[in-house]
Amino acid sequence: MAPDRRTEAAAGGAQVALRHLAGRAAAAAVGRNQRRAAQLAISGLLIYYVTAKSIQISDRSLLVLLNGLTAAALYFLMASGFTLLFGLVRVTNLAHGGVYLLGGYVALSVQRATGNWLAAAGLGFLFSGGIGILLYVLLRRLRGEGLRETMVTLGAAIVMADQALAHWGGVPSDLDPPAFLQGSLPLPASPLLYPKFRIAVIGLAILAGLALWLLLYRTRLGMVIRAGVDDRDMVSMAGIRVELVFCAVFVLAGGLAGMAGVAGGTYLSLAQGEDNRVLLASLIVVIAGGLGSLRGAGAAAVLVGLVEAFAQTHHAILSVLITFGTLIAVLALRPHGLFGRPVDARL
Amino acid sequence: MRQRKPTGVWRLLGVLVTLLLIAAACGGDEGEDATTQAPATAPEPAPAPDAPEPPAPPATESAPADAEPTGEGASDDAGDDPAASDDVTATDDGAADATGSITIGAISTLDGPFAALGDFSMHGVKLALLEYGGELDGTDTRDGVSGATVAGLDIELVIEGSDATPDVAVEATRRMVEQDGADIIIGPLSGDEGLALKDYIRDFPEVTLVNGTSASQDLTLRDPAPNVFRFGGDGAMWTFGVGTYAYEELGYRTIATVAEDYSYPYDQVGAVLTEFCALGGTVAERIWVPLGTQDYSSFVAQIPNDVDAVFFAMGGTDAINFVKQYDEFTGQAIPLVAGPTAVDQSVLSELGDRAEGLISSGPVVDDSGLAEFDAFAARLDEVFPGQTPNIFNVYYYIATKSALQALEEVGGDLSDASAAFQAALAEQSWQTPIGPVVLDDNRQAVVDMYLRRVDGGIQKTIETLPKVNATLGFDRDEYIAQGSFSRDNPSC
Repeated sequence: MAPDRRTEAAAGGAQVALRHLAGRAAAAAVGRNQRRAAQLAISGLLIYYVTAKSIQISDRSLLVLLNGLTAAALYFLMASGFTLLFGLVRVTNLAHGGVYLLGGYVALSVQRATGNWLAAAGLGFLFSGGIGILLYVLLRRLRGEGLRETMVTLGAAIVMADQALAHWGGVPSDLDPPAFLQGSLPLPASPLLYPKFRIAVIGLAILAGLALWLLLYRTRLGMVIRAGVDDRDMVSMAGIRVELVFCAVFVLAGGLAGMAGVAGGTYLSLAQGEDNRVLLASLIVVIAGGLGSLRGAGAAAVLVGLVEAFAQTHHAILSVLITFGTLIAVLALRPHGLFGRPVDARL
Repeated sequence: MRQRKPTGVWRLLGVLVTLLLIAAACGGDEGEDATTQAPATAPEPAPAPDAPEPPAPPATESAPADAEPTGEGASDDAGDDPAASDDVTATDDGAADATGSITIGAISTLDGPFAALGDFSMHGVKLALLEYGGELDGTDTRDGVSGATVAGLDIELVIEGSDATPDVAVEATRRMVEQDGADIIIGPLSGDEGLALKDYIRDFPEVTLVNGTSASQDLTLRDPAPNVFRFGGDGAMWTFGVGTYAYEELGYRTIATVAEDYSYPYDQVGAVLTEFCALGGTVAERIWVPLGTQDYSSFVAQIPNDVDAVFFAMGGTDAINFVKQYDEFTGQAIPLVAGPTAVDQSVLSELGDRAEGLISSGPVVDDSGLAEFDAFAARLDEVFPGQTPNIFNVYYYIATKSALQALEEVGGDLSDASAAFQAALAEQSWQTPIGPVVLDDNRQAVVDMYLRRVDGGIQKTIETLPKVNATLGFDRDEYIAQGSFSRDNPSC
């Protein structure tokens, strides 16, 4: 039977990995490198535990993996914009969740009017980019005053949430996926299915990540943004209109959040309070990944998504604790996050 | 850095922002009004809350003194604020003075995950008041009803909202009782809120709580408070009959349950399992999800493959999200059996085709043929166009109307800590839109339930289950001795 074979293969793989880790841990212990030995032993235990738990429900471990990746995709779309903004402009944008919600709701209205998901997604994206410009203008005068900037974004978040409630009401609703992404695909060796749209969300996040990478590392604008992250004053002294670049990053971050809102509003639903839930999740991802680091946002999104899906499946009651525990563990080992660097103290 | 030049682009942006800000400010007003009402009245009686309990019954002499500053302060927003005029009589306990009025405070979930349900419940409250000569102040949920009278006394309506959390509900009720001088509280909506309000209201014997839709068993079953009344079923009663039907008629032997993780779903799961396991059925897995969960994929993954059916107990948004995702992930390969609010009329239209054929039990069906029900439905649609009966508007209507009927019988007499009124309320026995109601010794209703199936977007009756009581027909002492339902009680 297929499930048995897969189970055996997984168990075999885990055994090999464990033996390898145990060997290295022993070697490290003999070599008196206690820290290394402890690290290896802990990772060995974790691998053992996760494998054992997954084998228990071997026919559904693929589902758990996919669930984690879908959540990661949404988190990445949110966190990448947040982290770019922080990296370049040093703004902790607490209105990011509000942009998510408004982007989703605008798309919902467009879809109700036109029935076209792609048009809805496009307009949701543009609208959120527009909110990005608004935020940029609001924050212009406060540049460099971190606390006040954060307070303004918090105020904007509250205004956005109230506007969403006033215009779209308290009844939750969702967008219908485009026709070619409706329905579900069968999962191999399992009676369960996986919705096509969720797979598309994973694809969307990968595309967005690639596009961002191309933008940052293959274009002049990206070069300026990266230089700005490293030393803003130097860039503006080099005669580059750094304000325009800031504005562009606000638009980009807003658009990404809006895109996340459209995706989340389609495969989950849009409701009051979603803005805060998504903001919190993306904050965890951004901090674990390292503030300002795009690679970090990607890695942390996958980490947090997978941990969350695993915890919800096997330890539902502890899942929130485990998710935050992951953040704490990451920060304990790497205080600036997975790919972060110390924030410039002058700012 | 260079000073910016006001080029055309920037000017355009400026104009755009200004316009948007103005739009935001105007749009925000409606919402703001409602939320600032409470804080606006809050500072004025500030000295009072320290000693709230003693003044209430003997306060008649001191009332004018207290009322003076309150009245002045409140005149700022007296225009549209129903609470403003109450403050004048706030400390008067509403006994049959010539000028007296009786204040009814209605609380429901006007924010948070159940915000939409809060709107429905207020429709029910207002419909009952309209029958007593009231007129709607406006179409907004927080707009009150004025002009209603009972036994020659004016009825003032104060509306407060919570977000389905117990502490917010207690805080809102405290405002109504201690500041607005509410004599009767109608509500709350959700299970844990009800338990919290029972503990709070116990200290105010002259105030009467008539429950809205809070369906925790222990609001009335264990350790009841003498001034708490429930004219509807609890979560277990609403689920009565489903376990038996699933075992005997549908032939299920093993089920899994998926439910929100708090007291009301415990009662629903507990009631189903009590019946199902007594007949010999088993439960393979009980899955508890946090209230307000968006993504159910990881919980669907926990449902064992070899169960005959999945019983799910959720409300509002959660039910909509769960059914949608369950359908996407399993194609409903394993049939669902629903809890009462999961397929309530308030969410049926959002559930759409996915809800077709779902079996559940519950207090409201659309084809009962009762004259009272049809009249209620017609009146509801007339006053609030497009609304149809659901658990929330029906229950809040029954609660409010029961209170008004009892008030009428005692001529509005709330003296002696509302003793006569509460006695009359306990004796209420009338034909509601969903069947006859009488109260037991714990002031808990004995009511009809309906085993029902979703058919063509409405709830159709399979079988009427008459006179369901709080112990589901089991021996009272034995039933109570089982202890409150919880995550793993009953054990089965």
